[in-house]
Amino acid sequence: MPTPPPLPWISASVPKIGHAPAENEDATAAFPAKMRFAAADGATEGWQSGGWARHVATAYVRRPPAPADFPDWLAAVRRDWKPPAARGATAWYAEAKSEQGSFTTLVGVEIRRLETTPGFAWKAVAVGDSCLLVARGGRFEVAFPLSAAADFGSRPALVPSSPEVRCPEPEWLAGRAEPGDLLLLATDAVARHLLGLNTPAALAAVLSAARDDVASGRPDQLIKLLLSLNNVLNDDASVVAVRVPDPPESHR
Amino acid sequence: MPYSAPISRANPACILLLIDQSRSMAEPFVGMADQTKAGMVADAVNRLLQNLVLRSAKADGVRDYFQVGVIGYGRTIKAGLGGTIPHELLVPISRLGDHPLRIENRKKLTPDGAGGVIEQAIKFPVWFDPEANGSTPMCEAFAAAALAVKGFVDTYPNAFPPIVLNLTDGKPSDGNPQTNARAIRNMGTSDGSALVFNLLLSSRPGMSVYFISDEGLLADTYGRMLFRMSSELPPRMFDAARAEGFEVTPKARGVVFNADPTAVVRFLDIGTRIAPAVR
Repeated sequence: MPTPPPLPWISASVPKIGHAPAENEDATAAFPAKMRFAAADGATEGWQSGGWARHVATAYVRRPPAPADFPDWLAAVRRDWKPPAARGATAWYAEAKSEQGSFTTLVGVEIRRLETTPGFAWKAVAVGDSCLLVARGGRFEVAFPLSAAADFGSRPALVPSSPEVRCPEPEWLAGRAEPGDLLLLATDAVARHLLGLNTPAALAAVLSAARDDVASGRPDQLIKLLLSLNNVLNDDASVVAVRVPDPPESHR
Repeated sequence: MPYSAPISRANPACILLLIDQSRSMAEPFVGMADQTKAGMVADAVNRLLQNLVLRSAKADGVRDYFQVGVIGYGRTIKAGLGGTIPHELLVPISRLGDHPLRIENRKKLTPDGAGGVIEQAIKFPVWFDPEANGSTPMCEAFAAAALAVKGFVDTYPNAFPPIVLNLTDGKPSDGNPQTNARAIRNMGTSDGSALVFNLLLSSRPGMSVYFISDEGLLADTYGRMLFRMSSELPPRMFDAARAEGFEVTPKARGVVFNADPTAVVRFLDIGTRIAPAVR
């Protein structure tokens, strides 16, 4: 039996205004063959938080944790974390900041094909305010872990790099995906914007643009959206969009 | 929404501290014979500067998210971080990060997890040394601050509005500083008016009084003057004060009376809450 094609997906990320791409502290990661995707938002005031965000997101798509083994998973992720040496590493502040460690949010989703019926199931984990948004048609069926723009604050839960700092309990959710669903993994600036769109037409336009970008393989419209948010919020902004394909003709 | 401008290198935040260095600052806090007011305030200022550097420190160095200045007023008016008044008063935070006067090795007591405490060695960068000499030329200090604020808002018209924090233990010796404080509050950026906050160090035993909204609670004329000189807390600081357990009411002002050492630290913390803590 031939291997089914991977799900079509795309990602986009832009840094804060006036920051170089290398200063972007958001991260996205994907392992398309395993249908695993992640987004993470490194805390601005942490040390090497962009690198830590990339490390955590990548660790998720390589091997997602289960609720029972999250502490062990995180311990291994922390052990593997080798922050790059800082320029001027002898500066007093470099020493103090590295002791504080790095912090990031995480949202990850793993999708699997159902064995007995057409369709897909997914399971997701989140720490903090990076969100999984599952769009069906022109509206969100799922918004996880936050469900409204008003839920976003300035002190989200964060995954710390230091074993000395307790990691907040992750949140877990599982669900089914229908053909045509669009799964979005979004860091807080994007998720808050999408959940705050106050007309169905505005949301439908964004979702249509995201679907077009996934179909074309070029994130042009998503990047335009992120840049417009960036002008207002001055935050790094990132999104991963995954589209669940329509069923093959034989299953319709 | 005012007081919401993001802090960036293109639009840094301005924090200007006015520190009373009159001779009475050489006296100890009430009930604390081993700690002078000047020494304790200097420690709090250095800790604030350290936090601002750490908030701005990245692997590639310290980013200039803040412009910081200190005006000491006592025997003379002088720039507490080097430079000259008023035009070189504000210092980019990266310069502070790279050039403390010295780094002291100090001891800190931390919980040992078993109900006791252990002594931990820490590095304590110092930029500002205590001084206590002369009278209290607060009017002149506010006038110098106004010039620095003017320079800042002209350069960064869209930045978060400048914050001026005045810490004193007594009455001004050179007149009524209300006019000069008002001149600062009348300046601003597109994000709001400049903020003036005041703290009066304790002169008698008793509770510190934080962020009141009604000057009728104050018995003396000088207290009412400091109240009138002080700006209302903008929303983020108001929320921070409430989150810290202060019973603030609408129109609470950035003013603290009868401040003990803890109040000094909390005043500087709340009064500089202009960006989310760890985002």
